[in-house]
Amino acid sequence: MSQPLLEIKNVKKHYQVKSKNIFSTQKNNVHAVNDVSLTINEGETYGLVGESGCGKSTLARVITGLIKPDSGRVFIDGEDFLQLKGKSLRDKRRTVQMVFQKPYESLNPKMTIGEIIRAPFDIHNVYHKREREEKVKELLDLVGLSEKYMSRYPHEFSGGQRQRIGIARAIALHPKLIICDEAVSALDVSIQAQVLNLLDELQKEFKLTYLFISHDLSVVRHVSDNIGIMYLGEIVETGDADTIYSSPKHPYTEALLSAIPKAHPKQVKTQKILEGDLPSPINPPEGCKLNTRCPHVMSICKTKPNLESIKEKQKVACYLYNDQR
Amino acid sequence: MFKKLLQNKQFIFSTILLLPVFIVALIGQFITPYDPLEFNHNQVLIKSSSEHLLGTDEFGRDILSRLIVGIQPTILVAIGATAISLVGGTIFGVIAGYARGIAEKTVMRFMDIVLCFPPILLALLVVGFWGSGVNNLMLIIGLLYIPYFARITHSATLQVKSLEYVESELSLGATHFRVILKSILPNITSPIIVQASLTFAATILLESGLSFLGLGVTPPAPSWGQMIGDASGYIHNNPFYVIWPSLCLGVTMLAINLLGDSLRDVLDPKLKR
Repeated sequence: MSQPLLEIKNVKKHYQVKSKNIFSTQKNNVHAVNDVSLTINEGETYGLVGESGCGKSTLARVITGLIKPDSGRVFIDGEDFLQLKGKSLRDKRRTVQMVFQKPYESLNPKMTIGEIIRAPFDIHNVYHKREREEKVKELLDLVGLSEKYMSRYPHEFSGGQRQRIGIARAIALHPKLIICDEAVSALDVSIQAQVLNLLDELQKEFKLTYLFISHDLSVVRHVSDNIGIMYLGEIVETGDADTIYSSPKHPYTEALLSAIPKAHPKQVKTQKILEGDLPSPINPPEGCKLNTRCPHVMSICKTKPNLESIKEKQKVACYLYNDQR
Repeated sequence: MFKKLLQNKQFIFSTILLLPVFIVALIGQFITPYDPLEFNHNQVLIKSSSEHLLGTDEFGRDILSRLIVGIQPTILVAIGATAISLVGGTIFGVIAGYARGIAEKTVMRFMDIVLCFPPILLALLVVGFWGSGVNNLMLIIGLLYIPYFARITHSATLQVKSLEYVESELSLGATHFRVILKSILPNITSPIIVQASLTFAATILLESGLSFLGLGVTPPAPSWGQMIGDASGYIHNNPFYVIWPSLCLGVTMLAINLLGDSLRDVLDPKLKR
C-alpha cells in the first residue's frame, strides 16, 4: 500500500444565512460540509460523487485552502495544511492544484494563453524569464495544443481546448495532487473522453494523484480507484470503486447507482427510486441524513451512524450493516 | 474593440464633434482673432459683423475669442476632476468589493452619504470656504464624483471576484495585490471607461454651473458658464451674446453623452437592455 498523500479529518464548514423579517433576524447554518474524513493515497484517483449542492465543491476549496473550514484538519504529505502561514503556505500550495468546472470562466479573458500558463511560474518566481517561455511551450505540447496558441486569448478556444489550458496551468508546478472539480461535466461526451485520456496520460507520466469530483457516475467509475459517495455534506459510503459499483450497500448509493442508464436495451433495469426531495441543507434531518427518504428507515436512524468497515475495502455509514443497533 | 468602435456611427459622429473642441482647447491662445481680455468701449454689444464674427460683449471684448479661450479651463477642470474621481473611486470600490466585511460597509456607506447631497450644493459650500480657481474646482468636483466610480467598480469587482479565474489565481498562491492588478482591474475597465465619459460630461456641466453663479473661473479670464451668466443680463440688447456660449456648451455636452452611449454599447453590451 502506498503512502497517504492527503488526509482530511473531521472537516466541517457551515455557512451562516440570515433570514430577516421586521421583528427579528434568524440565523441559520447551512451545513455545507459536515464532519468529513477521507484519505487519498499517492498515485490513486479518488472519485467523489454526490448530487449538486451536497458539498463536493466546498470540500475541494477547503483542500486547496480557498475556504477556511470551521473545524477539522487537512494533512498534505503529513503536514497540517491549515496551520501553515506565509511562505510555507505558498510553497505547500504548489503541491495541490485545481482544474476548474467552467471552462468559460476559469481563464482570465484579458490574459493570453501564454500568460495564463506562465502565471504559476510568475507567482512562485521559478525559472528565469526566458526559461518560462520554454516551459510554457512544453506544457502546451504536453496537453496537446500547438505552441503558436501562446499569444491568443481564451475566447478563441473551444471548451475542450480551454480545459486543456486549465490542465496545463494546473500541472505547471509539478503538483502531487490535482483536484478536478467537475472538470469534464461542461464538455461534450467525445471531448470528455479526450480530456479524461489526457488526465490519464499525465497521471502515468508524472505520478499524479487525482481527487475527481463529479456527479457523473459513469465517468467516475471509469477513472477512479476509490470512490466516496456524498449526501448532504457527509460521506455515506466509501471504498474500492469496483466493490461499490458491484455491490453498493448504503441505500443512497443503491438508488444513485441504479439511476445510471444501461447501455443495452435488453438489460433489465431495476431502478430504486428514493421518495421525496433532497432536504434543505439549512435544517438537515437529525441523525442519518437520509432518514426522511430511506426505504429501510428504523428508529435508530435518528442518531448519526458512523462510517464503519464492512469489508476490507468498503466503509458504510448505515445501521443496516452496522452492529451498533 | 477599435474595429467595433469605428463601425459605430454614433461614435464617429460624436468624435467628429468633439475633436475640434479638444484641439481648440489645446491651441486656443494662438488662434484667437483678438485679445479676449481687451476692452473696447467703442464697440459694446454689437451683433455679428465681418470685424467681430460673433459680436462683442458688454465691454466690447470679442465673443469668438473669448469662446475659444473659454474652453480651456472647462476642459482642464473636467479632465482633472474625472481623473481624480476615477482613480479615487476605483481604489475605494475595488478595495471594498474585494475585501468585503467591515471595510466594504464603511466605505460604501460613506459613499452613500456623499451621494445624498446634490453635487452643486456641496460644491457651492466647498467653493465658499476654499475659494474658486481651476485647481480648487478640479479637486472639489473630482472628490464629489468619487462615489459614482466607487459604486460602479464595487459592483463590478464583486461580480469578477466570484469567477473561477480569480479562484484559480488564489489557489496558485498569488498575492491579493497580484489578483487585483492582473485579474480584477483588467476585467472591470469597460464600466469604468463608460462611467468616465459620463462623468466628464457631468463635470463640464457642474463647472459651467458654478461659473454661471460666479464661483468658477476667476474673471476676467473667460469660461463658457461664466459667459452665459454674464450674457443673461444683456439678453434684450444682444440675444446672440447668450446664444453662442450656450450653443457651444450644449453641442459639447451632446457629443460627450453620445460618445458615452456609443462606448457603452460597444464595451458593455449587457447594459444596453
